[in-house]
Amino acid sequence: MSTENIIIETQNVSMTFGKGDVQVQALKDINVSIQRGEFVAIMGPSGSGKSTLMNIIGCLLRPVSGRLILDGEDVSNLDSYERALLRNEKIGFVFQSYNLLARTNALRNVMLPLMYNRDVRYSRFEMEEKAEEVLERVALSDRLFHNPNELSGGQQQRVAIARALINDPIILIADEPTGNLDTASGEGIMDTLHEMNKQGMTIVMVTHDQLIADHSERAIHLLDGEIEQVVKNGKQKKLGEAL
Amino acid sequence: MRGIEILRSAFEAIAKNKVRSLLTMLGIIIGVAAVIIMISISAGTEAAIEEQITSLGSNLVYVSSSFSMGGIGGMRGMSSGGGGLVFDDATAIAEEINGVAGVVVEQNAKQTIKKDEVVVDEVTIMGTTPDLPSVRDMEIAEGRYFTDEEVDEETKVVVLGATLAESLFGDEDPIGQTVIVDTTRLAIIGVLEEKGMVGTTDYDSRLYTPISVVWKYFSTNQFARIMGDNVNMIYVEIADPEDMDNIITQISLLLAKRHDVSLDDADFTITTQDDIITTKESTTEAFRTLLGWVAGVSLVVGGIGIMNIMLVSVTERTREIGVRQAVGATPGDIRWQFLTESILLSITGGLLGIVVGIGGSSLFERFADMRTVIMPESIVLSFVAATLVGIFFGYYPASKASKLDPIEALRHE
Repeated sequence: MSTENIIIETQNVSMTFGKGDVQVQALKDINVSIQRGEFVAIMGPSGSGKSTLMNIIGCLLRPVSGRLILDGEDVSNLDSYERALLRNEKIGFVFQSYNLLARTNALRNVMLPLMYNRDVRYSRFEMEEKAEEVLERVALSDRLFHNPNELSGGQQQRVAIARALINDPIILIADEPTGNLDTASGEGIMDTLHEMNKQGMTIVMVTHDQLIADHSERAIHLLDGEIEQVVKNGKQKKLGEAL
Repeated sequence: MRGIEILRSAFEAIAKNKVRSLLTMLGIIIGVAAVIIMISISAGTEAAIEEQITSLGSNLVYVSSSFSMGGIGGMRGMSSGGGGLVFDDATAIAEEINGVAGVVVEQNAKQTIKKDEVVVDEVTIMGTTPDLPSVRDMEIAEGRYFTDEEVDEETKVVVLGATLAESLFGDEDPIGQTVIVDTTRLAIIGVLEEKGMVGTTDYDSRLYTPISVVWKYFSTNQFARIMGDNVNMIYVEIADPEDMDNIITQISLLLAKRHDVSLDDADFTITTQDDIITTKESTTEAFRTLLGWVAGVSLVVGGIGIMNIMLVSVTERTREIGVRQAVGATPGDIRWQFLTESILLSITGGLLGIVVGIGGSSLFERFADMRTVIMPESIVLSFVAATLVGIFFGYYPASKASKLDPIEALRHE
């Protein structure tokens, strides 16, 4: 593992919620490094802290202690404005429930992050062109003007993936991307994610589904806010009983 | 996010909820329309008053009797026409002051008049001089006005106001016929053109005779009957309006000298058209201020409506806010988005209100027989007020939206 290829690193990241007696330690001294182009799964039962870790890596949440190094830059102490810019520029999110804007067609949904891009002021035409391009990458060129309610769950999730990719992020964070889908559509989404990963995209996926986690190269298992084990691809058999 | 995109998404958000948006704007629409209609009505009333007063002759100075000593009784003075002014005062003004174009005197009485079976009570008899039609801009519809000779000889002739002629004679031609005023029979020599209401005075329901006839036959109190030539009012027409102030001073000095009083306790009052217009305007001004407050309150109510709906909208769209934050919307972006929506709502409401206001004013003009004048200031004022309402009442919901935590927002059901 070469250090210059590390794209995300958490250094002793801890997180607590609440105050005083009701204080809950969600994460305890987590040290995780993710390589450029890696496909990592974060696993664990509910309450294990996997969502919290994901939110910290995704710059939605600031850890109470420890450092988050993103793309070689310490981003632990950015304020909400700076974190918004960072998310826009470097992070793509895919959610379990797609989170597309209702009554807004696929093209417009995918364009959304471009509108908040402060580095490049795209013209309307450029935005549409770019959105069309990414929608093509997720095989939805024929659904550009469909609203979410006119699309299947799998198609909606692919629109969401296109939205996550449009600003060329350095990392794609997927939160239970197949959670709301049937097995076939779920497989389709995993294929799309694999395809993106093959093209060089770093993917961090949160899931509690072992079958889905099997798609990753590495699975980080959390339990009670601590790393329980890290399972490399091909060694899943060890957890055969979970299947 | 760029302004144009913010505006576009605000438009879309409003268009997605057409009925709700319209209901939200209703308060603003009503408020703006109310401002425009109310101001147009009061401006119309004002213009009508001004027009009526000037229509009674321009450059007029009114000299009327007053009782500075108090106690002697304004009321009696009013009804009898007694007081300081006499006919010779008018003659003196006409002869001794330069720049006077015409002088008319007026001595009024109220009498019952009869024509065959028709009886009209409490008719104002205006005893005047032959210059009245020209000084007060009145037109003769039929026949003629009386002459100086008829005034001198106390000839029992009369000119009828248009409405009075109508109610006494209907379609018949009144010229050459007679009416009985109190107990005196007068010959009708003319009928005036319709003049309409001037302020609160209806010149059309009056009857005009030589002033000498009023002195001789219709003075109600014995004192006035003996004194003979008292007048209620002297109208002085000024040739050049520039001289107005100068001539007023001259009249005051002349009358004070003639009545042997000092200017401080003069027994007469001099007013001008402008004074009368100003008095009328100050009443409509007060009316307008009241209406302005009413309209202002409805704008505020409209603003509260917008705030209410925007708060609902922020709650409803919490997830959308979370998504926007996740893909890179800064707190400022979110605040602007919602603020733009409420401003857009209030501006659209304002524009619709202007349309409704202008339409409403013309309806008032057509069906309520009210004169209205659309004031451009009222449009600008109400539009600006509507926009400010949008900013003021939109700020709180927008700032609330911008402070949402993205993780909480994304979890919101």
